[in-house]
Amino acid sequence: MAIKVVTDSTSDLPADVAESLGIEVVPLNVHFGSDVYKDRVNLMPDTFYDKLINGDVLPTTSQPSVGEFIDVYERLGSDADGIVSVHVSEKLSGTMNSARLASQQANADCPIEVVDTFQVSMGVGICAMEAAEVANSGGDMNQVILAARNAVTRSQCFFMLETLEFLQKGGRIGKAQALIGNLLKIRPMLILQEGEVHPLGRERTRRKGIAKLVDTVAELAPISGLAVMYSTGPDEAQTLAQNVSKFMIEGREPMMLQIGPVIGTYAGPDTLGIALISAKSGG
Amino acid sequence: MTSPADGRDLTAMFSSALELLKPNVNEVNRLNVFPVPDGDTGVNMFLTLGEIVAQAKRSDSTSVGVVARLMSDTALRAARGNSGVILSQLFRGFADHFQGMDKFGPADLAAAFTPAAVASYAATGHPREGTILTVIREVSEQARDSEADGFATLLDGVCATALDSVARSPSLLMILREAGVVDAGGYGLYIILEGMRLCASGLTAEGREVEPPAPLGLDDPGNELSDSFLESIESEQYGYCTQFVVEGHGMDLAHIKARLGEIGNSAVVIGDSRVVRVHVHASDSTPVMKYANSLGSVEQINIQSMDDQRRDYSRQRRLEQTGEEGGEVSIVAVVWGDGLESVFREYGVSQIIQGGNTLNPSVGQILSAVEDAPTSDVLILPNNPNITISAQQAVSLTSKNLGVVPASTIPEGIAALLEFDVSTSLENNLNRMQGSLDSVSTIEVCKAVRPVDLNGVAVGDDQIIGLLNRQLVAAADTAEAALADALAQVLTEDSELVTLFWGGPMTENEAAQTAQNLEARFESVEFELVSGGQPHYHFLASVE
Repeated sequence: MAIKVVTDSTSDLPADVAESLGIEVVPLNVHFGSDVYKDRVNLMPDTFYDKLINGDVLPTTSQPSVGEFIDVYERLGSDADGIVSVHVSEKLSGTMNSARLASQQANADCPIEVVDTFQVSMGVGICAMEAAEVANSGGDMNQVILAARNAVTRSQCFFMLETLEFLQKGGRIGKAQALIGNLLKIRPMLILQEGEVHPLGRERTRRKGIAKLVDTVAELAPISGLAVMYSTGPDEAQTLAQNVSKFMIEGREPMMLQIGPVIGTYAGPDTLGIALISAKSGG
Repeated sequence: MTSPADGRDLTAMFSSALELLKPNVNEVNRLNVFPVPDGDTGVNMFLTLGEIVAQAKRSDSTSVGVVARLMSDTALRAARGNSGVILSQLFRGFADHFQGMDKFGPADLAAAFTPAAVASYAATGHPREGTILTVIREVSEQARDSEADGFATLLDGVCATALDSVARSPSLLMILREAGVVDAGGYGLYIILEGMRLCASGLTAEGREVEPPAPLGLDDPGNELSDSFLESIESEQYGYCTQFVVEGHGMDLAHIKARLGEIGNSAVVIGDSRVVRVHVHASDSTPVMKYANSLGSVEQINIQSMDDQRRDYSRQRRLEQTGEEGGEVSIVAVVWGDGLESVFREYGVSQIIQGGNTLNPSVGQILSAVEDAPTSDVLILPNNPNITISAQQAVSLTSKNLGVVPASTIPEGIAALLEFDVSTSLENNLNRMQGSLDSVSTIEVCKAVRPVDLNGVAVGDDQIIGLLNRQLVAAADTAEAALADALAQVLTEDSELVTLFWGGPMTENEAAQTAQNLEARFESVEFELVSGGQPHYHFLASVE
């Protein structure tokens, strides 16, 4: 018996990583008009971006139902000493709310702790990974909970978007409102702070935007875990990964992954981002 | 203190913590950042701890399990304010860990911090980092990993961690950064741990003063609430802070917390199935109390208007502090042309002075725009080298704090403006904006005033010239040809974007045609066409 870690599909956690660490991923829903898909279950990123770019309906998203979380908690709970459920910022999604209600209503035979990471995408995923590593090395419920909360304070997530259009239409623009302008072409740079989207800057060209991403990584070094995230441009992400690997502690390499349909709904095509977790300091 | 210790030793440690908290209550209060859940953090922690220690001293048991449980039960009823309620969860965690134990050693105390941290987070539906929660969690991690074999050495490490955690609190919580202070509740907890440490080391806590650590990573590590922060809270509405205790049967804490989270916010709920203590903010206390009465018998009701509290809070903080200037910065720019004016305004310029290459505004005009700017910290974008000199003269003539960003062209001015961040200081902005000036090249295209031969470029009558970074580089019969010639000299394989601000004698169609032709010729760069409306100049172009 052990502690199980659950997250949601906004984490963009690659399937093989989730599987090898034993992390259960609960999918959100993506709606194109009246068609509803399960994120990364019957809607894969490439199909999604094709529909986003070429289709005539803008997608929306919805959180997993309370019942879906209850099913997962009860299934895992029959064989676990506890469940730590690690999720996307409550200020941006109702997922935390579903998970919290489910944790109260499930007959799971074990304690369930729901943790808000205040992050999106791999910012969530990286916290789930830290929690799972402690769980897999035999940590008890309290240790896994505290590992997740410790990861929350060390994780950062920031992006270069090609346009704010999707974030704005999706109603998630928050403090990045300040970056909106119509007269000049701007690549908005965004960072998650305390669970909300904040402006990190505005750059006129992608090259300058990428340089800004690298500078931001440099400021946060030393780094123990890092993921380069892209929506539609793997080549650019590959180069970015090479440029930031030097800020990681010895022996660590950046991950590279595609931003999935749910986060893609708000970030749009040509998004590049970084999720990272700073190395543990003395404190 | 020798190991193993018993219940009386635990009481002695917290008694020492109370002694140390006493002379430092006002210092904790002073760091309070509004909206504080109620009253003052220092007073609340002191009263909560005071009640716990008083009860524990009355106990005749020496068993640490019994004493810790008594402390926890007392804390549940005695807790005052958000910080007091979370503090009482520390005792809850200790009681759970010491359950059934008579004596305890350093390793037991170290391990007891873990359930204490978990219980503290569980008290609030929306735990925030950069608060007392982070301090207790980091302490628990440090204690867990500690190999100390004595109480004094264990608590030495714990206190060092707590102090560091408090100092870093502003890096995790924006409201603390804005206010310029460390977290009051976290600092209060540090004092309590320090009091325990003194006791364990055989030192007296009485009368000692404990300075809060300087906030790490802030411009001004003074631990003084900033004026602009006080201003920002004065305009908000907060409603009522409601606290009570309910006694009932089979109460479900998680359910109560969720329900109160719907009625109000900042809900903190602790206790067990029989006794529950609640602390919540809501615009109206009536639905909160109605719900409370549905749960069981309600006592210790305390309802306070937070708007009254806020007024008292700001009045008192203002009295304590000398009136310093707010941290906001506004920008003055020298620009000529409707379109360019719109661009500068869109990205944050508040005062425009009409002027440019052929029309240099006087120092007097610059001064009056600076005086008209809404803040006392002002930055100016002259967008021309001659005007930069006038702006520098204005620095010594104005009573305001004026910084000159030496942009020598419009594209440089725009590049600098895009770095502007209203939330940071004049000095920071000045550095960032200056640093961006060389990130663009400027091409200016206009009609030559007379024939000339300069830099190896022969300019004939009525020809159109191209300047690259203010140096003559091209002459041609059309604006398009002059622009293309200049572009060919500046574009490299790293170039990505050319922004063309068209104006002077050009029409929109001519400008669009030019952009289209250039796009076909320079395929690897993106062209952006913007109406500048500037006089004389066919094109101002930024290349980056």
